[in-house]
Order: sequence, then structure tokens, then C-alpha cells
Amino acid sequence: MKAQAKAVPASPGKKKKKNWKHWLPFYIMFIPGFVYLFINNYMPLYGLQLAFKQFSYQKGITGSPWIGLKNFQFLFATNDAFIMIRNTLLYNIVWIILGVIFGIAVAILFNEVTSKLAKKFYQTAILLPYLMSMVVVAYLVYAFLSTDTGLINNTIIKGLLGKEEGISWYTESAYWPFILTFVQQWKQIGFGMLLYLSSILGIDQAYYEAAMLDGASKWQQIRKITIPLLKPTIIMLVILNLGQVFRSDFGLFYQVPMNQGALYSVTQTIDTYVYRALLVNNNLGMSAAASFLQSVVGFIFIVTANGIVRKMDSNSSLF
Amino acid sequence: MKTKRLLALLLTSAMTASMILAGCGGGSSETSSGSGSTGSDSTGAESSAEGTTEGVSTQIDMEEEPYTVAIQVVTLPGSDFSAGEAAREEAINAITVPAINCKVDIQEVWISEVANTTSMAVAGSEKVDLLHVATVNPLSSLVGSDILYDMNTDNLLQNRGQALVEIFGDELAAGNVNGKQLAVPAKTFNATGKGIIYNKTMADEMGITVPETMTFEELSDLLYQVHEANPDVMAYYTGGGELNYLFWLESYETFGTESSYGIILDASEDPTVVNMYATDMFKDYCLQTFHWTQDGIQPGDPTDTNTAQDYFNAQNLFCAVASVNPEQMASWGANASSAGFEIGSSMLVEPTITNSAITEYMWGIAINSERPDKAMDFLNFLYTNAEVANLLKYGIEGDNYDFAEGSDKVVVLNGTYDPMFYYGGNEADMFIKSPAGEDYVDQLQAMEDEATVSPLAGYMFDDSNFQTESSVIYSTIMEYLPRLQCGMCESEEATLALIDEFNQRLDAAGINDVIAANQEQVDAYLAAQSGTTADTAAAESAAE
Repeated sequence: MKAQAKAVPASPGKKKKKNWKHWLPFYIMFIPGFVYLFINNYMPLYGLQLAFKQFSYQKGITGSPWIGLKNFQFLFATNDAFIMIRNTLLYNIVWIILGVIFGIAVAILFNEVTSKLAKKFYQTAILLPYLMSMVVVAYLVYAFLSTDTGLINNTIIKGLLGKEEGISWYTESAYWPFILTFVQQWKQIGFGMLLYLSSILGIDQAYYEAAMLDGASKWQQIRKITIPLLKPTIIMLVILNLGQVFRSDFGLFYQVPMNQGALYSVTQTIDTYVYRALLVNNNLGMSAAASFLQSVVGFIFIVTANGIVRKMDSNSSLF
Repeated sequence: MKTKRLLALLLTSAMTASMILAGCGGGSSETSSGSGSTGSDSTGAESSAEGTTEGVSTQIDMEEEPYTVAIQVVTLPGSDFSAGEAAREEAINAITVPAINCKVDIQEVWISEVANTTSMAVAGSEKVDLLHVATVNPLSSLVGSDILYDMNTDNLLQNRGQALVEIFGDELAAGNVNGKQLAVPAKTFNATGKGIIYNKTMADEMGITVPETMTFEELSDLLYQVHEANPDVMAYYTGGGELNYLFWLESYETFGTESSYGIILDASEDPTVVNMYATDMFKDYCLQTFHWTQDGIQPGDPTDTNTAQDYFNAQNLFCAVASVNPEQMASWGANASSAGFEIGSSMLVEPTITNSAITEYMWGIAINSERPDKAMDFLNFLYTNAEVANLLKYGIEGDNYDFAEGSDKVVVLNGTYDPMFYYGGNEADMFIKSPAGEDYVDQLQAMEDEATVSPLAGYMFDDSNFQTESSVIYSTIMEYLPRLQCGMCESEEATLALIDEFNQRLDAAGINDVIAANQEQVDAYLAAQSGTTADTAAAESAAE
């Protein structure tokens, strides 16, 4: 009895100790990642003050005078402000939606491919564009769209449609929302597909077997099993992407349209504007201001989206 | 309760933050003023003994440990000359240590990275003393950023840069912004004409003679003749259209990148700053380029990323706009002769010495230089000692170059060292790079003597209050200029309409405010230059 009584109070302490020892290796494993995050993501936060300062190399970051919101002015100084913010937001929102639809569609189709050889082939073919530099992509697009030597003008427009003059793609802004969307989806679809595919592979096959036994068609299986079980992945990816909604892929908007002035009305985004504007006066304060604004807007979007998701379904929200 | 705690927290954090900031700020200002005062202290005593102007001593301290001056040597992207760097440094040190008690650290930088490297090095306080203030990292873009040390501090330039003062004289003013000497010119000969360089072999085949000088209208006639003689050859080419080619075809004084801050049409007649894109000259030019594209004189394809040089050397292009001077002729001629043709030139703008020519290549001292006085010593010595200048520009005899046959002046480089964008040293005393001949310096001198000096050669617009405007203006120019220069509109009316739209956007971007400020500074500069005479002129122009 005595021995037992002694043993009982001792056990919680022992358990605590054991717990601590149990978690220690995990904390140690966490150190490199934390150090990386700290150096890469937290230390630069110090530089955010540059956005509110007239940076002088002589006085350094802390010594430079505060100038309030003056650095942000150039972002809103022209009529371009509306255009570039509209472009950045709309393209991103459309692409987030399309990315979900095409990503899932391709992942499901890919999951149905059974031949190993075909699987390898499609995986490589779909993922290859994702690994390509935008500069290379820009010239691939140019090979299709060039007015004189482009494939589309010479085969489809002049050949099949029998028109005498090709379309001058790089001066007609009307086509570019579609061209950019096509290029973006073509390039990114492989990566989106991989994320969804990994979730699909994680779904228990028993669900499908049971459904098949009950006579569910492929379409019913997709609608009733695959998509509902993908919901957490979809929500997570959409929320994460919303954080980037005020940023844009510089290469896509700058390189692919070949930096053509005639196309600025549909290709000018915040990133390209900042690049073009600051090309001449290398002002650290102004570029810091632009990227600070992008982060703030992204942060607001993430928190709002997550809040909405939490209200609707608290299990699926990120935090 | 909750709000009170929050308020307290906010207040404490704000106070801590401001204390930290105040602490840091104070520290840095203390150190900078400290170093400044030691400089003037040590010199005060010596210079009074010497009986010279106040500031740093005119004498070099030969007793101290030799200081190592880090100098940027700018090269073509992709080149790597680090193999012989130590040998060149050693050869230079052998001369500079006994002469001026300093060593050199050569920092090779690719031209594509020089702006970035410089600002990162200065912001991060990495060692660099002499900065390449030129080409893609020009003085105009550095004025607002405090990267450059003021060489007038403690009379540094006057007392320790005597050779520079002697060689450059009035041209030094080009590096002087609001009383601060931020940079000094790098090239001894800055006079240049502007116009076209053409394929002479091609012209001879076509039976076309190109006069040595011509006007814009004559150029257009010539281009049509070329097109008629051989339609397969591009007569003219503006590339992406982002560089304003009118700069090489008409004479005017320009301010800012692609005339962002306006131009003065004729500085000696009427120093009024105007918006170049609203002038009739620009309108006429755009209408002409429209017709050129329509008539097949130029391809008018702004997506073409080849340079004019590429096409010219491949003999697909008849002529290209260029600065016309002995240096450019030698450099274009070298490429042409290896491709098997001869070149000629024709001037549309008479030789002048303008601010943009002088500021194209300059030297500055980094604000974070530990010893600006030693940096100045080295720079000054570079312009007095041709041996050091040759070592930096051409390398070591035998290793990097050999003398041309029968000459002790002309060198033939073997490709192991050729810092394309480096200019330092008095060109009059230095070696001459083949294919230029021994009379190269005489040619340069002749052009320098013939050239008219712009009354604004020493003027630089201080744009530090217009950072927002300048960025928006430049971005707007990039939106319209390529289309207009490539003549991509459908008709003359559409061209004129686009120019109108362009100017409305420039107005909205604030170009007129910038031009007004520029005008104010121009007037003040001219008044200071010529005292009362300019005052009356300015008053007259104001009355008009």
C-alpha cells in the first residue's frame, strides 16, 4: 500500500520528465528551420522602417530622417494607380479560381492513368513548364506570336483562315488577358496538380470500393468522395494564395509581353510599375514602401479569408 | 482597464523604440563628425605651417602604414580577369607605395551589376573607395542618395587633387551639385560630335556618297536612297525604341534619363527649359519615323531585342546612330574590320562638350570610405602617372598586351585583360589601343579644340525633391516612346493623337513642376556663372 501510495504522486512528475525528453529531439530538429526563418524572414523586418524614411547612405537605416507616407506617394501619383491595382488583383483572383479548377481536374485525370510509362511521361510533361525560367517562356511565346515569323500568324491566321495580314499580337492589348492567363496556367498547372494529387493519393481506397459496390459512377465518386475530401487542401491553398494577391510574377508580366508600352494597360502590375519607375533613381525607400504595401494587403486578405472560413467551418481554417 | 494596459504597452514600446533609434542615430552622427574633425585638426596645424588654404594637408603622410585604396574596374558582363589581378596590383603597388604611400585593391565589377554592387557595398559598409560613377550608375541617379563623398570637404580636391584640377579645370563643375563636388570627370577628352556611323563598303557598292555632315532631312533622303538601292538591307534601326535616338540627330541640351527633366533647344541663345516631348522637333521626328516604318526604311518592331551593333556588324544594317569621335570610330572600326567591311561617319550634331558627355564617365569617392584623402591621392596620382594608368587600363606588357610593330605607343591587346568600361588616367600620356594609330591623341585634341563648350556643361539638376515625379515620368516615357520611335501607329493622325495622349500623361505625372524647378536651377547657375550679364538676361527672359 505504502509503496503504491508513493508511486502514485511520483508518476506525474516522471511523466513530465519523460515528455520533455520525448520532445527534445524534435525541438533540436526544429532549430535549423527556425534559424533559417529567423534570418530570412524576421531579421529583414528591421528594414521595414525604410518605407517611412528618406534613406541616406551616409546616415544609415536608423539615422535617416522619417518622412511619413511620402514614399508611398509614387504608387498612387498617377492614373496608373487604378490600372495597376486592378490588374494585379483581377489577374490573381481569376488565376486562383482557375488554378483550383484545373489543378483538381488534372490531378483526378492523372490519378486514373494506370500505365506506369504513361504516368511518368505525363508527369514530366506537365511539370516541365513549371521549372522553366520566365525568360525562356517569353521566347517560346514569342515564337508563337511574333508578327512576321510567329507560328500562329503563319499557320493559323494566314494559312487556315486565309487572311493576308497577320495579327500584330504585341500591339493589341485586347488579347493579352487571355494570353497571360493561358501562359500562367500552362506554367503553374504542374505544381498545383502535384499538391492535389498527393492529397488524392492519401484518400482511403475503401471509400471508392464501397461506392463502386453501391454502383456509383466515376462522376459520382468524384463529386461525393474526392472533392469533399480535398476541401481542406483547397481551402489551405486558396488562403495561402490570397496572401500573394497584391503581388505578381514579375517575369510573366514583364518578360512575356516583351515589355511593350502598347500593352501596359493590361500588363502593368504593381511589381512591373515599381521596377519601371525605380529603374532611374534607385530609391530604396520607395521600393521598400511598395513591397511593404503589398505585404500589408496580403496580410489583410489572409486574415479576412481565414476569418470567413473559420466562421463557416472552423476545422478547415488555417489558424 | 484593458485599454489602459494596451495604451501603457504602446507607450512603453514607442519609447523603447525611439530610445533605440535615438541611440543609434546619435552614434553614427558622432562617428562621422568625429572623423571629420580629426581630419581637419591634423591638417589645420600642418596647412597653417605650409601657408596654404585650409582643410586637409597638401602633404601626403609618408610615415603611416600604407592605406589600401579599393577601386572599381568595370568590365563587360561575363568577363573574368581575376587571374592576373594580383600581379597588376603588385605592379601598381611597387609604384604607388614609394610615391604616395598607398596600395590598391582592384574590384572588378560587371557593368550590369555596378549599380547594385555599389549601393549594396555602401549600404553595408563594405570596403570600397573609388566608385565608377558612370554609364548605368550615373551621377544624376546618385545625387539624391548620399552615396558619394563631397570632395570639397576640408578642401580635399583643391589640396590633394591638384592634377585633377589642372587637367579638368572648368569641367570639374559637371560633378558639382549644389556646391558639393560629388564626382570628377574620368575622360580627358570629352568633346564629341553626334550622328551616324555607316557601312562604307555597302555605300560604295550602292554608289552612294555620304557627306561628312548632314541635317536630319538629308539623313532621311539618304535612308530612302539606301532602301531603294537594296531593299533587303535595313536602312535604319531603333531597336526596342527605349533609347531616344533623336539625341544623336538633333542638337539640344538634355536633362535626366531620356529627357525626363526637359531639354534646352539652344543653350547659347535662350536658356528656356521645355518638355522635349511637346516640341515640334519631336512631333516631326515621330511623323518621320512613322513614314520610315510604313516605307520599310526601319523594321518598326519593338519586340526585337537585337542591338543595332549586332545588325550592323552582321552587315544587315546600313547605319546606326552613334557618338562620332575618334574613340567610337576606333571601336566600331575594329568590329567592322573583323567582319570584313569599312565604316564611315557623318555628323548631324557638331562637336560639343556638354554635361552629358562629361558626366558619361566619372569617378566618385564612396561615402563610407575610411580615408577619402587617400582615395583622392590615388585618383590624383592616376592622372599624373601614365605607368599606373596603363597598368589599370591595359594590364602588364607581355601578359596582357604587346606593342604594335614599330610603335612604343600603340598596344595590341591579347584578350586576357580588357576592362571595357574603365576610364582612368590622362589619355594624352597613356598608350593607345590598336586599331587606333599614333595620331589618335592628336585627333582627340583636334576635336576638343574644335568643339564648342555648352554654357551648361557644368550644370547638374538636383532632383532630390522630385524622386516621385521622376519615377512616374520615366515610366510614362517608357510606355509611349518605343511605339512612337518604331512608328507603330496606323496613320499620321493616330501618331499625333498618341503624342497628345503621351503629353497629357506627362503633365499628370508632374513634368511641368520638374521643368519649372530645373529652370530655376538653370537660371541660378547661369547667373552665378556670368554674374550681372546673366542676371539681366534672366530678367529679360522672365519679362518675356
